Amino acid sequence: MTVDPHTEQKLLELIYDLLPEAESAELRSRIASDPALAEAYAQAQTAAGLFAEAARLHAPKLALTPPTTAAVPAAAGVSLLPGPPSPVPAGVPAKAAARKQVDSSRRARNRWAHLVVGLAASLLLAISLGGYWYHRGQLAEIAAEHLRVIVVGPAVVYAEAPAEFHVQTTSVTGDAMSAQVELTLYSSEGKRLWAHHQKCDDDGRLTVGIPADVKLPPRARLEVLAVHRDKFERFDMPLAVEPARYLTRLWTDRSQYRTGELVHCRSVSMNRWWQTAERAFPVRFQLRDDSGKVVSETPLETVTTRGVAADALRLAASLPSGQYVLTASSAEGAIVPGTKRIDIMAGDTGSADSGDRNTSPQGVAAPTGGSALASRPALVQPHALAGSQPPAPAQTSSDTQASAFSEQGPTKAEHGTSARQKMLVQFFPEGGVLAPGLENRVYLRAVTADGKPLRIRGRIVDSADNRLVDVQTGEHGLGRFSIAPRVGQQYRLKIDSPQQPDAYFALPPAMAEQKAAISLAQGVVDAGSPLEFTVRVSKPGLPLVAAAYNGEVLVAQQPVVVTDETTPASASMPLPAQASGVIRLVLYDFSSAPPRPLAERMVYRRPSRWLDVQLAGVRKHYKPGETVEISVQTTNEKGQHVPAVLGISAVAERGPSSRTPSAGGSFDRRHPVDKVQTPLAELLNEAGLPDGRQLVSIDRLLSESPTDRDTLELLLGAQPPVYLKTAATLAEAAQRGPSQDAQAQRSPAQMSPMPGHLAATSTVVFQPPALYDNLQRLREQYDARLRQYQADRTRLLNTLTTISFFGGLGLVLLVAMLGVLRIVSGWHLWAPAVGATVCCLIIGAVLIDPSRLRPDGAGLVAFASYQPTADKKALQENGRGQDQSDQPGKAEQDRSIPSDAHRERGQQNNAFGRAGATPGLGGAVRKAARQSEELRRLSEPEILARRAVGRLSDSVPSEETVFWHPLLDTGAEGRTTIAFRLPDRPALVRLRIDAHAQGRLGGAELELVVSAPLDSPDTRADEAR
Amino acid sequence: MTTPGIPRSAASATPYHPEGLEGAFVAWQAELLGMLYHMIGNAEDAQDALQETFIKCWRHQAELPEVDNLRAWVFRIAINTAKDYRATAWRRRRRGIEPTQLRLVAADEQDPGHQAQRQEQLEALRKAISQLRLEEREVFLLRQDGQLTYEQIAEVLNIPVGTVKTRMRLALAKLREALKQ
Repeated sequence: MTVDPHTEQKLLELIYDLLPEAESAELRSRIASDPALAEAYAQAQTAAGLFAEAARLHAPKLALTPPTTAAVPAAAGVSLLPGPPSPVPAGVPAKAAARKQVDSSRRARNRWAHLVVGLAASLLLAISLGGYWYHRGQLAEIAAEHLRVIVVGPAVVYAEAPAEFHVQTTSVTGDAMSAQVELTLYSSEGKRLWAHHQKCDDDGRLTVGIPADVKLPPRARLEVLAVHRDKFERFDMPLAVEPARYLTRLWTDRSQYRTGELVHCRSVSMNRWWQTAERAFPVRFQLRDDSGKVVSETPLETVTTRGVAADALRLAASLPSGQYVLTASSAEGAIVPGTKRIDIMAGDTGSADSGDRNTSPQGVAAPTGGSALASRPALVQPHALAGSQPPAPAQTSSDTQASAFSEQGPTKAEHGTSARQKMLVQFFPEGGVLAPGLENRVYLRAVTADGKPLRIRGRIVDSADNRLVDVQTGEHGLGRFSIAPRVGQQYRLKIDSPQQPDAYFALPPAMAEQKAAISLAQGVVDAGSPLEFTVRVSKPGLPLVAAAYNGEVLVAQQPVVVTDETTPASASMPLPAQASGVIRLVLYDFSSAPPRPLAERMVYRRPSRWLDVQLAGVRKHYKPGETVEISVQTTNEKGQHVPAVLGISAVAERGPSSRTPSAGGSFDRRHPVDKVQTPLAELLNEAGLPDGRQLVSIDRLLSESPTDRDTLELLLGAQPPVYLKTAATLAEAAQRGPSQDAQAQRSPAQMSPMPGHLAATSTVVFQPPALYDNLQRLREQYDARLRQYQADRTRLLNTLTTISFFGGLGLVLLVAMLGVLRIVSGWHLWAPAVGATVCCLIIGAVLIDPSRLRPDGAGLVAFASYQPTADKKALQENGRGQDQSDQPGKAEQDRSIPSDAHRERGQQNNAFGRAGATPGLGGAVRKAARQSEELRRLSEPEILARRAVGRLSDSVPSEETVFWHPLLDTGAEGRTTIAFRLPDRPALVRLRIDAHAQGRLGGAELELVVSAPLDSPDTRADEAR
Repeated sequence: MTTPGIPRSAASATPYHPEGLEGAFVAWQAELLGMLYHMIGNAEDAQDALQETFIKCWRHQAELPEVDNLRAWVFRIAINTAKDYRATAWRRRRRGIEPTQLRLVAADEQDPGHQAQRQEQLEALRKAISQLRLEEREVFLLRQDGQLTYEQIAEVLNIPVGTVKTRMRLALAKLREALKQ
């Protein structure tokens, strides 16, 4: 009989005392009364016995070894053991004891093996690392024996102007070395003129300036000596010294004339660095047509008084209508000629009042004035200007202009049909050329057919017509956008507003050889601020030098090396305090000599000193024929009255289409009439949108704080590159060679760097900074020294190398033997052994070949040395010449002669340059310079374009000069009063005042409304007041 | 009360074994070794664990005057030692000695047929014990010979008495099923 499983479980629980007492008693009574249940209970007891048996594990009596007695803390008064414990209790099997002894022995061996391997690995590593550091120290000593010196500075030093040189000293491996640097200036006769010695800072950098008061001879030599410990580098940098240059700004009473009228001219010549006018120069005014031909000139030269020269030119009745250039130049080479564009219309048209054509305006009559001064400017005999023969007229057309401009720099795209509004859109990549694969900022300007600024809105699309970026221009037709172009892709501007169906303007193509792009953080910077810009490159490691020109004088330069093509390099270039106005930033590629300009950008730096011209007694409205009396005060930037020299003109608009007073156009009408306006407004107002030449010419005369910072920034961005084109022209002419001269002269338009009428008086001098870098020579010496070091290895180094290289292998062999012999093995032995061996092998390999340790950092970029006026022969005679590798620039880069008037000075420079130049190459470059000079006499495409669109039409409103005073002194208190009679008819009179003092410039402009009393309620209100 | 079928040689009412600690270990060797074997799963490690348990007890014999039940005290130390061995079992990775090699002394002398059947039953039960959940196995191994009360087991394992009994019931049910099969 069997019982159910539940009862079986209960019986087991009864056996194991798991049941409650009552249930247990009941179950026991049932067992006693039920034989079947009793039998099941007996089986459950058997199962319990089996459970217990299964739970046990029978084994011989084990040898339980107690610890030693001394280690046993016996309980007080308690005896646990019947007798003294035996270390090995009786009955312990011999096998177990033997096993224990084997284990103990094995553990001991393991410990010793680990200790030996660990010690061996540590010792080996220590020896190898010691050898490495010893070797490294030796290499550092060798590197320190080679002092790298980079010196960047101007190749031409101007008298009375400071010249700064940037020196950097490092080891040949690029580690900064603070060397002691000594710069000494010698004359060509070897006379010591100036010396300066100073230690470089911790970064190995030093900036040293030659003071402006050093009397410089025509030729000089700058000796640079850099000393670090017992090593030194010495070399010479020949310097061309230019006399002090005076920048001339030309001013006329107005900008539009008719034939037969007088052109009142006023020039202000000031030291372009200090803005002073302490010297007097004879100045002659000339009028040139768009081909550069002189069509009229003043018979006599006028000597400047306090920098001012004034005269008048009579316009011949036979002159054709068009745009002409007025120039003010001097036979002396000290002044930079000034230029100004004027419009001349032929004949008497409409109702233009010609009655005053032959009369002089109020104030000071032509040719010169100075009634407010004690002395009148003297007249001198006419001076025949050298080389004033008119050049051949330009043979260009609109088509060739477009193609020429699209080669490099801005492109001008003209589009229009009879059904559409004709417009002109020009693109100006920041830096001059679009760099492929890099983010480029592009400026643009849009003008109407008559040259007025045009607001447009459009988008840039690629060849597949994909929209890339939206574009729009503002009030002055200027705008900007950014684009990352690709080579071979054609980008176009599609105009959305005004509606121009199917109209597009092509952007200049991205040039594959353009490896760098420059981007200014700000186009207008405050006084004293450095130039901050970023440089992106598509080829890392380009040796670049950024140079800043102010008034065509190199005022600062800085090497820039970009090591990462994905991250732009930010640079901050400090400028001298005097550097202000328009500054041209040029980025040169110094991977070869002569350096190649890559990018160019203009920036405006506000001056730290200026003149404020304040006008008092001005009303908004005047009656016809009323006499105006205005008080003029001149104060400096601190509000203190200072004496100044003024030039004043008042011009009334006249003619059939003269604007109504309320519609009078002024650049900035938001300002009250007594608010000083800037020359920027004048530029934008008078000449439409000025080109780069104008900005270069006026240069520091843009001294007033601009009223519209962004407009000025756009204006500066929308300028064509000048240096890039000059360099390209020179290079192209040099490549053509003598046999191509005739062709070059026949078709010069395609190489024109600038407009012809401006080129006639060009003052742009392409002169990259001079640079000396001995890295290329040092590398060769360093390599030779390393080879010598390797050949003359010391016994210590050989021992260290052997231990490093073979010690690791021995350690691995030891561990392998321990494993093979079954002594000990495991990852805890192999890991340190293999790790130490790998380290030792690497170090051993480095020690065997020292060149493996040679750093080849990204900062080690070699610049090509360039010294344009290097008189190598003289240097070699002095025994100071450097290795030829330091002077890779064999083609002497002559300075282009800016004008005929400067030919004499240029010949002096050439004579200086010929002394040590390679005859063939020097001659070729000089010929290229002459070609460049000819190429500058080209017609400006823009003039033709403007003519084509009819800007110079007879509908241009004519003007009448009602007051002209070229030279008025405000006296010691900085105050004076002017008075003149207004026209007898309604007119808009524009009064302009130009002011300058010692070191300060300023100006003002306002408009006076002349209207009948009943014409304007404002007039009545004014009179009532 | 005493449990039928459970050897009583090791029973002791006092905390002190008449033959001292060594005598206690000799008397309880089969139970201790069996428990350690079933806890660790390796006969050789079970022997080492027994040695270690003995050393631990030896070193802590100063606490004995305060111990109410020597068996419970020894078995608690053994349990903890077994747990330590289980936690470090991956470091030893020994090849275990089959328990059959150790079972040199037969519990009872029976006729060969009965002995073979009994061995089969014991093998099945050992396997079943090894397959018990660890907490059930602990309770069963401590209670199998009836020398520890459930209260003492609860104290050793630091769990409630009810939990001890529940685990014991579950263990018995599984072993009973294993025995029937």
